[in-house]
Amino acid sequence: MTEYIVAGVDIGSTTAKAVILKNGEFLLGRIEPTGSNPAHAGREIMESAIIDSGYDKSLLGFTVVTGYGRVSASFADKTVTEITCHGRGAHFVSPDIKTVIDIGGQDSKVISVDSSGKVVDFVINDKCASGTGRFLESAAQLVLHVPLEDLGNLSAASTEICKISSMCTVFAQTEIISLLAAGESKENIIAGLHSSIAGRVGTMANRLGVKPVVMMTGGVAKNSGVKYALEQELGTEIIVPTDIDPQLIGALGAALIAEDLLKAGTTK
Amino acid sequence: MNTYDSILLAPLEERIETDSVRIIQAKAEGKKVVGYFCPHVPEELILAAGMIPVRLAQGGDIEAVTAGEDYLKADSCPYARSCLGFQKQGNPIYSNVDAICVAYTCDSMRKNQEYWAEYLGVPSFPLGITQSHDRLRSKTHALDYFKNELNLLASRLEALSGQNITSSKIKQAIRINNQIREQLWRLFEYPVDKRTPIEWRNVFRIAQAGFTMDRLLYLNELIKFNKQLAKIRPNKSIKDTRPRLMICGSIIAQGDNKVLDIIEQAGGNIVADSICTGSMFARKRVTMFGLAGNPMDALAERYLYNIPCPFMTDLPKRLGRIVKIIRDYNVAGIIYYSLKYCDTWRAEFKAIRDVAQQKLATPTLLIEAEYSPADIGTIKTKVEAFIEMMEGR
Amino acid sequence: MSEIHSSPGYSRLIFDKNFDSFSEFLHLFNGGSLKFPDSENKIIAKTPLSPPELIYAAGGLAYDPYTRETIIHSVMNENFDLVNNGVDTGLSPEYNPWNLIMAGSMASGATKTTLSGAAISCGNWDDQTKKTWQALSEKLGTPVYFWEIPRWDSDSEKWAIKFLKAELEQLFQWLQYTTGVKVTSQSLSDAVINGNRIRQQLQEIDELACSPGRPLSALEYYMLHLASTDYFPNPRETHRIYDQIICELRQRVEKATSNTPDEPLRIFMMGDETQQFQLFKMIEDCGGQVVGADFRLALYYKLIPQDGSILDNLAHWIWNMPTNMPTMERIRATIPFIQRQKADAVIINSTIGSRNLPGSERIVRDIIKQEMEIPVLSIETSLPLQDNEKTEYLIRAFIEMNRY
Repeated sequence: MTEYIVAGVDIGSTTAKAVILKNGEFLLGRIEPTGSNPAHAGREIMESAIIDSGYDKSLLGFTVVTGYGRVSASFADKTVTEITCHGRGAHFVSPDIKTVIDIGGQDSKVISVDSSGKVVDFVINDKCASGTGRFLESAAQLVLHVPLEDLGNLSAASTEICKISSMCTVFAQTEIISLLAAGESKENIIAGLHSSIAGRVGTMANRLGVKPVVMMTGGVAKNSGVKYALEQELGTEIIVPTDIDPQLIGALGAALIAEDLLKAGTTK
Repeated sequence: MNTYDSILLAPLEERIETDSVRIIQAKAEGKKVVGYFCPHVPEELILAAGMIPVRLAQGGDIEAVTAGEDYLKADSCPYARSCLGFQKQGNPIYSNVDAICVAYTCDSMRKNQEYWAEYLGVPSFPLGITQSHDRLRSKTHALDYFKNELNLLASRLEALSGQNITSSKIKQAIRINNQIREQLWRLFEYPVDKRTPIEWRNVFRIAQAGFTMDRLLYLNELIKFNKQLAKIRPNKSIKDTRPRLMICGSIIAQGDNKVLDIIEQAGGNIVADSICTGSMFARKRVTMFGLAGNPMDALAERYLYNIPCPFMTDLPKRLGRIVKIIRDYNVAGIIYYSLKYCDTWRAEFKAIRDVAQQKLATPTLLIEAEYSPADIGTIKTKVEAFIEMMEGR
Repeated sequence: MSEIHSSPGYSRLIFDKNFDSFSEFLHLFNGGSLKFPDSENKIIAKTPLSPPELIYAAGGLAYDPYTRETIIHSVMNENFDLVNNGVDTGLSPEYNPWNLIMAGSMASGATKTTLSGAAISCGNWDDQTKKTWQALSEKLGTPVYFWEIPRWDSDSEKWAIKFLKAELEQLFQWLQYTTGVKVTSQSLSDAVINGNRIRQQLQEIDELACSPGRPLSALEYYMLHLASTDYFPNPRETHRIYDQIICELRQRVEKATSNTPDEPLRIFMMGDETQQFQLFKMIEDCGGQVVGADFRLALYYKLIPQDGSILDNLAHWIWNMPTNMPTMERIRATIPFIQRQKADAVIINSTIGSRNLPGSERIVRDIIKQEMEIPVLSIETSLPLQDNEKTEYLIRAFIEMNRY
C-alpha cells in the first residue's frame, strides 16, 4: 500500500494546532502560539508537523484548515468550520459522544452530534468573554497572579465556592480585588470563577439540550476545576480526552475530513 | 449572477439615484411625495390622493445609524435609527418626502414616527392598526376600527395634496398595485423549481427596486421581466446541489447586504423568504367584492388580514405560513436573521425553530446582527457551519 | 428586624426604621408566607398598567407578576439566575430584566403563584411584555388573553372608544369563562368604587411625599406605589394598610419642626422603574429628596367617574391614561403633576434592556427643560448588584450643581 499523509490545521486566535494522519491513522499533533500572523502560523505549524512526521511533503495528500484563521490560509485544500471539525474529532476519540463542549480562548461552543459524528445542532457564544478562556486568563494572570495550569488544583483545595456576581470580565476583575482585600482565599475565588464559567456555558448547553455522553475539548478542558463545575452544572459526567491533547480535537477532525475528501477523490 | 440575470436587471441598476432625481423633479413640478416604512400602510391611498408613494426601506449604512443616535439610543433597532439618520444626513429620498405615514406597530416604529414629527419637522400621519385580530375574525370590531383609521388617514392625505380621494381613483390605484403584486408573485414563485432561471436574491432586488420606482413604470418593467423569463429554457444538465434555505426575520432593508452576501459566499441557496421587504407584499391582492363594493372596505380587508408582523399576537398564523413555505419550496434549513434589539422578531425564534424542527425536521440558525461589519467573521463561521451541517440532507 | 428585612437584598437597603406601618406593607411582597386569603378565587395575571378592577369585577384576584416576581426574586432574594430561565423560554438576553426575571420565575417554578389565566393588555405598554407572555403561555400552558388599547389621537376618539368597549366586553366574556363569575354593571361599579378609594390614597401619599417635614423617605415612597397595580391580596386589605400608613405619615407631618437648615433638591423621577433600590437612599445621601414619580401615575392619574355608563367611563379612562398617549401629549399631561409636587429637578431612569420609555427619553428631557425650565438628569440602571459608582457620581454632581 502506498503511504500517504493528510493534515488538519486549526488556526485559533491564541494557538495554532496541526494533526497528521498516516494512512488514516493518527500519527502526531502539534500546538504553537499563533502570534500576530495567522496565515503564517498555520503554514509554519503544518510544515513543522510534516517534518516531525518523518514523511516527505510530496506524500501530503490533502490539507483541511479550520479555525478563525482559516480564511487567510491559502495553502488549504479546503476550509471547514471548527464546529464540524470538533464534532468529527470528538466522535473519533469516543464514538458514543453526543454533545461536545469546546471552551476556547475567545469563544465557547456547544455542539450536538449524531451517532456518526455528524453535527445536528450547535450554539456559539462569541459576544463576550465570560464563558471563555479569556475570562479565566484575565482573572488568573492579571489579578490572582497564578499560572493557568494551577487553576484546577487550586480550586480543588477550596473550602467553598465564592460566588462572582459580575458577568463582565472587566468588572469581575474589580470584584476579585475587593474579595481578596476582604480576606477571601484564592482557592475559593478560583472555585467561584469556575462556577461562573460553568454557569454561562451550562446555560448555552441547556438551550440545545445536553445528551450524554458529553465531551469537553479545547484548552480549558485541561482545567479540572472547570470540568468539575460543569459536571455539577449539567448533572452529568464529562469526558476529557486523555490519549490526545483536548486542544487538538479540532485539528484532528479537520485531518479526518481531509482523509475522507482524499478518498472520495475530491479535487483540490 | 449569471448572464441572464445581469441582462434582466440592468434597467434596475442604480435605481435609487434615478428615482431620487425623478422625485426631486416631480416636486419641482408641484407634486408631493409621501413616505412610509411598513407594508401595512395602503399605498393605494397615497396614489389616489395624487401623490407619489415611496417606501423608505434603506439600511445597512452605519453612518446613518450613528446619525440616528441623536434621537434613539444605541441599543435600539438599527433600521429605526438609520431611518432617522438618513433624513438628518440629507439622503435624497428621505429628505424629500413631504410627509410620512406610519403604521402604529412596534415600539421602534412608534418612536421613529415621534422623532420625524417633532425633530425632523416632517408631518407624520399615524395609522392605528389592531394587533390582536385573530384568524377566525371573531373580532369584527377590529375591522371597523381599522376602516375608520383608514378614512382618517385618507382625509389627512387629501388635506396635504389638496386633491379629493374618490372611489374611482382608489379603484385605479388598486388595479395597478394588484397587477404589480401578481407580477411580483410570479417572480417569487420561480425559485420553487430547482432549475429556476432567476434566483431569489435577484427577485428580492427587483422587489426592493419597486420601493422608489414610479408604479406604472415598475409594472411595465415587471411585465417585461416575466415575459423574458418565460422564454428561457431551463438547462437540464445543471444540477444545483446547494442546500435550499429560507430567510426569515426582521426587515432586510435595501443596502443591508452583509448577511445575504455571507450566505451566498458560503454556498447557501436562498429560495424563499418570510420578510416584510420580500414576498410578503406580493402575497395577497386587494379583492374588490363586486363592482358596487366600497374600495376602502377592500383595502381594509387586505391590509388588516395579511400575514401579521410579530408585533401582532397571532403567532399560529405566522407559524402556519412558515411551515407552508418550507413544504412548498422544499426548504432544507431556515436562516433567522433578527436585527439586534428587534424585540418582536427575536422573541419568536424559539417557537419558529421548534415548529420547523418538530413538523419538518428542518433546522434553524439564529443570526442577530446590526449593520456594522465587525461581526462578519463570526457570522461567516455560523453560516458555514450550518451549511456544512446540511450538506448531504 | 423581621425575617423579610434579613433577606439578602433587603439587608443591603436602608429602610426607615421608625416607619411602623410600613412593615406590614412590606410583607405583602413576601410572596409565599402570605397566602391568598380567598383561595377559591381564581388568580389572573395582568400587566402593570391596566386597571385591576376589570379582574375583580369578574370575581378573580388580580396579580401583577412583572412587579411582584421581580421584587421578590431579584430585589429581595438576589436570585439572578432566573434571568437564564427567562432566556430559556425563548426571550432575548437583551430584554428588560423585569421581563426576564418574571419569565424566569414563572417558567422555573420559583414562583409561589398558580395562575388560572392571564389578561394581558397590549397597546399602552411595551412590546417586550406582550412577547414575554406569548412565550410564557407556550411554556406554562396558562391561557393568555390579549386585549387591546388603541392608540391615542384626538381625531380618533369616537371609534377608538367604540373599539375599546368591544375589547372590554370580550375580555369580560373571557374572564367569566375563566373565573365562572359574570361581569355585570354592578360588579364593575363595585370594583371601581374600591379602586377609586385606593386611587385617592395614592394621591394622598403623593401629597405627603412633598409635604414639609419630609415624612416619607424615597425608598418607602417608591415601594408604596408597587402595590397599586393589583391591590393584592385584595382591595379591602390594600385600603386598610394604606390607611394606616397615611395616618402615621400625617402624624409625622404634624409633629415636624418647620425648618430644616439644609434644603434638599426636590426631585421628580420619571422613566423606567429600576431594580436598583439602593438608588433612592443614594439620592437622599447626595442631598436630594424624591417628591414625586410618574412610574405608576397612569393608574391613579384621576378617579374613574362613577355616574353614567360604567363601561363608557372605564373605556375613556383607560384610553386617556398618560402612558397610552404619544410622548409629547404624555409629558404635557404629566407636567401638572410635576408642578403640583413642586419639583426643582427631574431624574429620568432608563433600565438597560428596556426600549419603550428609553426610546423617547430625548423627547421627555427636551420638553421638560423647555416647558418647565428645570434641570434634567438621565441615568441608566440595571440589575440590583450592578456597579453603581458611575450613577452615584452623576447624581451627586447633578444635585451639587443645582443646589449651590
